[in-house]
Amino acid sequence: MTATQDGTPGGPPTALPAGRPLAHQRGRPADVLFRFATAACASIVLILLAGMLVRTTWAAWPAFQHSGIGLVTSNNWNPNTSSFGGLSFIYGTLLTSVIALVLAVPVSILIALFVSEVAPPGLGTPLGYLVDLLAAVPSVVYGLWGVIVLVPFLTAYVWLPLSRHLGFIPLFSDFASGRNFATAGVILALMITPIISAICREVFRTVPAEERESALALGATRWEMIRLAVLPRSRPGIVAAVMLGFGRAVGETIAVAYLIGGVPNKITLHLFQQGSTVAANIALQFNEAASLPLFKASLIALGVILFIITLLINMAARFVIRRTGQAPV
Amino acid sequence: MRIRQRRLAPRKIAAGAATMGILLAAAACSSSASGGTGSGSSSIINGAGSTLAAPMYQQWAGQYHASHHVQINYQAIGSGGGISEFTQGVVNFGATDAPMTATEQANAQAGQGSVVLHIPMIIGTVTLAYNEPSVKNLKLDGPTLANIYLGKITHWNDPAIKALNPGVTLPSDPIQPVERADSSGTSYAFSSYLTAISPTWASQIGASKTPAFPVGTGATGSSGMAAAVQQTKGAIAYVEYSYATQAHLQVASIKNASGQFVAPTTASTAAAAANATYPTDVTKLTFSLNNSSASGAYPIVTPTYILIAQKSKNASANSAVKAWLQWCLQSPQQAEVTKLGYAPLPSKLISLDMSALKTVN
Amino acid sequence: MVVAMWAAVAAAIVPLCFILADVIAKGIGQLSAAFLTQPEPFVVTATGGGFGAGVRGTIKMVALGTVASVPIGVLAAVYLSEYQPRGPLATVVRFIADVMTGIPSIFVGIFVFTAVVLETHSFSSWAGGLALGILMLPLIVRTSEEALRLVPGTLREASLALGVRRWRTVVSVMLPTALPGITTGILLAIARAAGETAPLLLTAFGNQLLVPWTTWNGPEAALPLEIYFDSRSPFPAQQARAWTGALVLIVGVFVLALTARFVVARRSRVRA
Repeated sequence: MTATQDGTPGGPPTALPAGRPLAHQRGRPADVLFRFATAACASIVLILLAGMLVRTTWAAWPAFQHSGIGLVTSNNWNPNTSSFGGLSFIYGTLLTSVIALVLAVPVSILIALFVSEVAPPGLGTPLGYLVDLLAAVPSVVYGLWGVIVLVPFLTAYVWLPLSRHLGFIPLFSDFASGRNFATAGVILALMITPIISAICREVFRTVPAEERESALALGATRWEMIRLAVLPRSRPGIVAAVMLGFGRAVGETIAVAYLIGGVPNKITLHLFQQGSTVAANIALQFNEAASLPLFKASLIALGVILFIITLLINMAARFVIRRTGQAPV
Repeated sequence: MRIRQRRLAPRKIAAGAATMGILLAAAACSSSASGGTGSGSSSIINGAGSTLAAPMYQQWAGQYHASHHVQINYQAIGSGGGISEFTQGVVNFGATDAPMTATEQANAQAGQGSVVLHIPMIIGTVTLAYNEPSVKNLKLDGPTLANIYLGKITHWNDPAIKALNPGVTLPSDPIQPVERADSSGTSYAFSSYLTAISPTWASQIGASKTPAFPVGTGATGSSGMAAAVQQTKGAIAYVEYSYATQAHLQVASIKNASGQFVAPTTASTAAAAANATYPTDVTKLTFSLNNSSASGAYPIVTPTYILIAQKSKNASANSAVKAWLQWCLQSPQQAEVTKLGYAPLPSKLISLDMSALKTVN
Repeated sequence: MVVAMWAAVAAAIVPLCFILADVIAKGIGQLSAAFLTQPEPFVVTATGGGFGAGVRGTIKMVALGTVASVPIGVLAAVYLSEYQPRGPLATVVRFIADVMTGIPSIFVGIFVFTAVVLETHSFSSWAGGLALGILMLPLIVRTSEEALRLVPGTLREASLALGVRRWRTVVSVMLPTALPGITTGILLAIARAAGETAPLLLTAFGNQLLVPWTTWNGPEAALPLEIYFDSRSPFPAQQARAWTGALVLIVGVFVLALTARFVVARRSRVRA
């Protein structure tokens, strides 16, 4: 027997009557218990993470009272004079994350496509694992290797030549040091590539074979098949992967602290200047601030602002997805 | 048509759990058999702080454990971290190169519920490492250093540097001062020296673990400073003695208050310490060794202190720390310090330390 | 287009090879069984010894974090994708999980420091494990939810239509089908947790000595912590140990990932 037993209407293929158990299942203890268990776990996640958010905001409250909106709009960070304008850190976080995304997203998607669509399985799977190995490298090793190897290499072969030959572009002029926004962005790109690539790989893998085969049967080339059958369905998943990569880039502490210079109050388009990010600043200054309440509250407050920014960007991403009608939520 | 439902394979799950349990039990048994932490010892004594002193404290802790069976766990999180974690009561003692400010002292005493003592344990050296291969023995003095870090001297062949190094051909490279981006006792030592010899520096920036340097590039950690100097021609950075010697960096000789240009060595550091005057109040045993006028004394020398409560809430841990410190001040232990690049404490300072420790519960 | 793909692969693999080459070249010298089981020598200039304390601590704390976050995270993801996906609880949890994937790792450290370490006046292994678990949780929730949503609806409906109960459908049809995706998420989370320094600085603190497997109440070492401290040392012996520790950590996480994927792949093949 393949029909539903109580004759409830079928509905659209991917939407069951949400939350309404079928008649013969209503009230079965195992189902109720299971549903309760999953709801309980979701609530635990909520309580834990929301609790952390609430407690952190409460700890940061004195900073909001003291600095007001100047915490994010003013570019004057000087703890010695109790001036806590953290615009430069927010700017640094966003700038390095954008650089990281610009570098990592195309590379990751291409790698994922390569591994799932183009490469023969004997080559694709090991390559996929190899890229995943980038995720196994601890962040302190990225910082170490970055300072010892990447900085001199990039300075000599990429940053300085760019600054000499393309120096008319403001991005590339005014070289200060090899430990700068650009290098921090590069190391972040290396760190988020495995995340975006691994998730995109899973997403591409779940595209049903029938859709690929229909495209090919209609005469599409492999690239056309990818463009018509694989990518459109995968857009929500790709966006989710990019958002997770962005989150990682925004939250990376140690590697960035090693590579960005840790200089506050620097807002500039010159990528080869030093600066700082919210996370790196907390790491660099927390020990100094731990017993000075206003300083500590201001560091934490910047983190809270970071949450809000991440939230807004995620909301924007979901909105874009919903507009293109690809996902139910 | 019968539907063969996938079972959750309870037997497999049970087998897996049993294996895990056996493995964990085996690991637990083997670990206690290996006696990794010693038998029947009471809880660990924890300390945190200065990176400069860490090699010595960790060696002394290990040697003390071998002979006295007390576990002392020291982590080098930086002077600022040592002060703050000691204030919050999560470590039994702190270690800092920079004496606590009045605010820090008040907070620490409130946090510990008792007067907090500084016990100077080690004398360290701040060297100026630079990267100009053609300049073999660079000589600098305090005001010139201050002007480099204030941004007033921008090239190696500046007249001020030329005057200090007659007969040496100086390159025209720009000078790149490097500074610590993180909170650091070494930054305090360096900035307190500059405060002592440069009124401009004293008024504009002052001495702190996080000075607001007007120019220069930032690096994280002393090893980051050493790497920055090695990678950038024309760079100059302030690093502790061991970083310069172990990485074979070029270091400058600095002019002391008697007009001699002295190279940083354990001997020149010891000369500065031997000829200093020390406070008499053992509850306020902080002092500066900067800009010594003694013969052969290096001018940028920093003591490093251990912070201990006079009467701690955790009395047994505190007496253990006190016993350990008294042991560290004895001559066999003091004889080890030069191997790690420090200068030994002069005997008058050792007796001051002992008197201070007598006031601990 | 294929050229672009090869270029992308190279862009990722080439730096990886350089990192691995460096880590292996600098770290292989000290690698030995003793390195994995012995603590560091207390004379910092001495060679020998190893990161035994850190290996043990990382295994303990990552295991605790995984055990704490995986069941809760996966079941929460089941709720988000199966029951009331548009409901209020699900929407809020989804947003919070999204926001929390961007949390600076030091934040989790500060939170657990304030909530646990200051209250108990002591650093501890279980505080470290808790911090790692909190770090892992948002990533596991999000990737598991995505993996579950990608399971074709037809599978679920066929199972329900055949009379299988809802919970059984989830456990026997949806979860196994989504298992590769969920595993990817868990492995990414473990890789991150195993390599994080900042949260452990404030919770586990670090320890020169080996802590027994059964002791969770005091400070504990961890591999990233030992790498961090030793890499900041001026002495070559300690720096060499830091690189070997890095090699051990990378290889350890990689072997774990390979094993997990192998097990999952074999399971899928057996089923088919």
